[in-house]
Amino acid sequence: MNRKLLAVLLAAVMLLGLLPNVVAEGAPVKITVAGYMFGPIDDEKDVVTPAVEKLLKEKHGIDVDIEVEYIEYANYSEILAPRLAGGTAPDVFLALSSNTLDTYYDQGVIASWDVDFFKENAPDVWAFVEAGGVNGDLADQFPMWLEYATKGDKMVVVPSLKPDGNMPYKTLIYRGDWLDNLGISKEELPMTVDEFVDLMYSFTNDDPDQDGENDTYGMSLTGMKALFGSYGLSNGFLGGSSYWYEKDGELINADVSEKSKEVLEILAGMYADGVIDPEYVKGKESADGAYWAASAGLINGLYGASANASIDHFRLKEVLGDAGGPVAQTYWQVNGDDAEFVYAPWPAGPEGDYGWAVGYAVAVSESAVYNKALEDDPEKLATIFQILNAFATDDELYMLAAWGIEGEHYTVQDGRPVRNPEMTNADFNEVGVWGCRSLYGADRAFSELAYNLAFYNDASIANRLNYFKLPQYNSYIQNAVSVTLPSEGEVLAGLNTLRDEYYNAVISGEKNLDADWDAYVAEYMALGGQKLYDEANDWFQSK
Amino acid sequence: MKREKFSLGDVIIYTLLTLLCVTIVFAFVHLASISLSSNAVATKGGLLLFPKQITFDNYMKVFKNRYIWLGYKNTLIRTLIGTTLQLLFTALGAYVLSKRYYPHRTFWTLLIVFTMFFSGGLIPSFLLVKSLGLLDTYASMILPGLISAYNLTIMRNYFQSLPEEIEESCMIDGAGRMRIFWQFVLPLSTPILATVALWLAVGHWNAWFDVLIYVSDKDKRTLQVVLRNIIITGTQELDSDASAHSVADEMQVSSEGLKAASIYVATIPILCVYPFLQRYFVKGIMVGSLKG
Repeated sequence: MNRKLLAVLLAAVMLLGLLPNVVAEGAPVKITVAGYMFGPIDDEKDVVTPAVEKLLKEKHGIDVDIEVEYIEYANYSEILAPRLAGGTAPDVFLALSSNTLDTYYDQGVIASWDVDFFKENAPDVWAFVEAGGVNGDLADQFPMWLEYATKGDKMVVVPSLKPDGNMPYKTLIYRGDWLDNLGISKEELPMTVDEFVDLMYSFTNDDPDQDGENDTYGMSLTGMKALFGSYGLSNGFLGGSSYWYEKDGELINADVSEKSKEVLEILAGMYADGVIDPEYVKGKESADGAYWAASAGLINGLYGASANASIDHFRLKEVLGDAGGPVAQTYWQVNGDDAEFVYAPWPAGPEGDYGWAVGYAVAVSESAVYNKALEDDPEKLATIFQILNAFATDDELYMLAAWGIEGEHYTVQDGRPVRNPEMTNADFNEVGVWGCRSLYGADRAFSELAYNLAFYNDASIANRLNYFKLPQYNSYIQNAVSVTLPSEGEVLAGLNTLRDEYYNAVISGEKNLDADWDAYVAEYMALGGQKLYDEANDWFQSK
Repeated sequence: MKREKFSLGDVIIYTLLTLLCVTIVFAFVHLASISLSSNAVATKGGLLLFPKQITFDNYMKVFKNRYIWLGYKNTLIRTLIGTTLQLLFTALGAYVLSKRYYPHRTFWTLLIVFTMFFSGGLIPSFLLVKSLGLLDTYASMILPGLISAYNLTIMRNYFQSLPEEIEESCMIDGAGRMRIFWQFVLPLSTPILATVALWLAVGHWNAWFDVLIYVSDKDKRTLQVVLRNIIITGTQELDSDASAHSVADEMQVSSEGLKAASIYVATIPILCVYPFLQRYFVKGIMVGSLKG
C-alpha cells in the first residue's frame, strides 16, 4: 500500500515538474537591459520595474518581464566584451561612444534593422524626431540624426536628440578670496590671453592666500585647456582626442596645428616659472577616487583657476533654492559657508576665439544598442521598439520609470516634480528608478513631457542658458568633423599617446619647441595623422 | 655564546623597517580618522591623525547597506570553500609531483609551469566558464583558479624536503599511500599549508574582477565588488565627446567618510587573520625555499 502511495506521489511530483513548461507558453517576453546605472537594483526594494511592467501590460498590451542588469560603468566595455563573445550579453546595452558603436557593428555583435521596421513599431518616436523634437527646435538636426542612426540602409541605434546636447557646459572658475586678496574686482577679470597669464603669475607669486609662503600655483590641466580654447582649439591633451577645425576650406587637426604650437610656447614658459601645478600630468584635477568634477586643487587652495566643472556643479544656492551645486557645496564645506568662487569669462586669443568644447545635439554615447541575437527574434525587437514608443506617448509611464512613485521618490512643487532630496542617485537605482532608461531612450523619452522636464522647464538649464548669454562666457568650440573617421579606431589611440608625450616633454622643458616641432609633426603624420587628415578632408569635401 | 650586538647595518635596517611600518600604519590611522569625522572635515583632505567632529553616521550607513552584508556572506563562502578546495587540490598535485619515481615527472611539472607564463586570455576563459555552465555560480570564482602553478611549485619543493625515510618506515609499518599523505605528510607540512592558505584566502578576499566578469546575479556579488561600487561611483566623467551631461551632472557621490568606513569594514576581518598565521608564514616561505 505504502509503495503504491509513494509511486502515486512520485508521479504527481513529476507531473508538477512539467507544469512550469506548460505555463511558460503564454509567459511575458523577457528583456534584459543593462543601461547607465549608478548602482545595482535591489530586487527586494524595486517597486518601479514591476509597476512599469504592469502599466505596459494593462495600458499598452505589452507583456514583458524586464530584467535590469547592473554593469559597472567604470569597466562597462571590459565586462561586456567577453559576454558579447560568449553570447550572454543583455538584449539592450550601451555603446559608450561612436567609436565603440562602429567597433560593435564591425564585429557583428549588434542588431541592425530596416528603417521601416522602426517606423512601424515606434511611429511616435519617429514622428517626434523627424519634426525636430519639441516646437521643431531641432528640425535641422534630423539629417544628422539619421546619419548617426544608420549604417548603409539599416538602422543600428536610436541616437539621442537633445537641445542641451550642443549647449556650452564647462565653466571657468577662479577662487574669490584670492582675487580679493590681490585686489582684483569682478570688473577687472582677465579678458585676453595676456591678462589671463598675468593673473596666473599673480596667483603664483603674489601670495594670494596670504599665508606668507610661496605655496600656490596659477592653474593646472584645465587652465591649459582654456588657453587652447583661446586659440579656437579643443586639444585633447591630456588623454583625450582633439577636435578638427576649419581654416580656408581645409580641416586641420588641433594636435599638429601651428596654433597649438603657440599655446605650448606659453605653457612651457609658465611651467618653467612654476605657474603650472607640476602634478597636472596626472590628468584629472580631481583627487584619486573623488568625484571627477570636484577640482581638488582649486577647492583646497593649491591653484586659483579651474575649468573642470560646469555651471551646474558650481550652481549658487539661490538658483534652485537648494543647497547649491555639488561641487559648490564641497567648496563651501572646505572654505567656509561664505567663501566665494568667481565665474570668469574665457580669455580671448589673438583672433578673438575663446572657450571650451561643446558636443552635438545628436549623440549615440548614451543610446542603447541591441543584441545581434534579436535579429533572429524580430518580434522581440519589435516589442522593444513598441516599449520605446509607449514611453514616448504615455507620460504616466515615463514619470514612473524616470522619476519613480510620487510622494515617495519625488513630490510635485509648483507644478514641477522635485526628486526626494534624501536619496542619492544610487538609492534611486536601488528602487528601480532609471532602470528602464535604455528602454525609453537615452536620458529621457522622446516626448514633450520628458523634454520639458529635462530642458525647457528645468530651472538649472534656464540658469545655464542665462549664464551663457554673457559675452565671452559662452564656450562654443565644436568639432568640424561630426562623424567617426574610418581609421580612428586603428590609429587615434597611438596618436594621442604620441601627442601627450611630446607636449609633456615640451611643457616640462625637456624638449625644445623650435627644434623639435617639425620632427614631431612628421612623426605624427607618418603614424596615421596623414590618413586621418585625408579622411577628414575627403569627408568635408563630400558634404 | 657571545651577546649579540647591533651593528650599523642592523640600525639602518631597523630604521628603514620602522619607517616602512609607519607609512603603512599611517594609512590605516588616516582612514579611520576620516571614517569617524564629519564630511566637511573629510572633504578638506590633508593628513588626519585624529578624527574631528566625531560621528558614527558613516558606519551606520555602511551597516544599513544590505549589499555589504550580502557581499560579506558571498566573500566568506568563496574564501572558505575556495581556500579549502584549493589547498586540498594543490597539496594532492604537489605531493604526486614531489615523488622522484613518478613517471614523466619533469614533463608534468613543466606542463603546469607553462600555465604560469601563458594563459588563454579573458575571452577564452569566459567562454570556457560559460560552456561549463558555471556562469553566475560560486564555482566560477573558485574552479578556474583551483590550482595555481606557483603555489603548487612552492608546495612541491616543500614536500621534496621531507625525508623519504619517514615514508619508507611508514610503509614498513603497513601504511598505504593515502594514510601516509594524510597522517604524516600533511601534519609535517603545516608551515607551508598555512602560508599558502593565507595567500589563497587573501586572494579570495580581495578578488573582484572574476565576479564582475562571470557573475551578473546581483545577490552573488562579493564584498570587494560592492566596495568598489561605493568607491568609484562618480570618479569618471562621462564621455565628453557627447552631450552626456544629464543625470550625471549633479550626481551625488559617496562621501569620503562613507568610502573610508566601507574600506574599513571590508578590510578589518582579513587583517585579523594575519597575526594568527604569521608565525607559520615566515617559517613557511623560508623552509620551502631551502631546496629548489
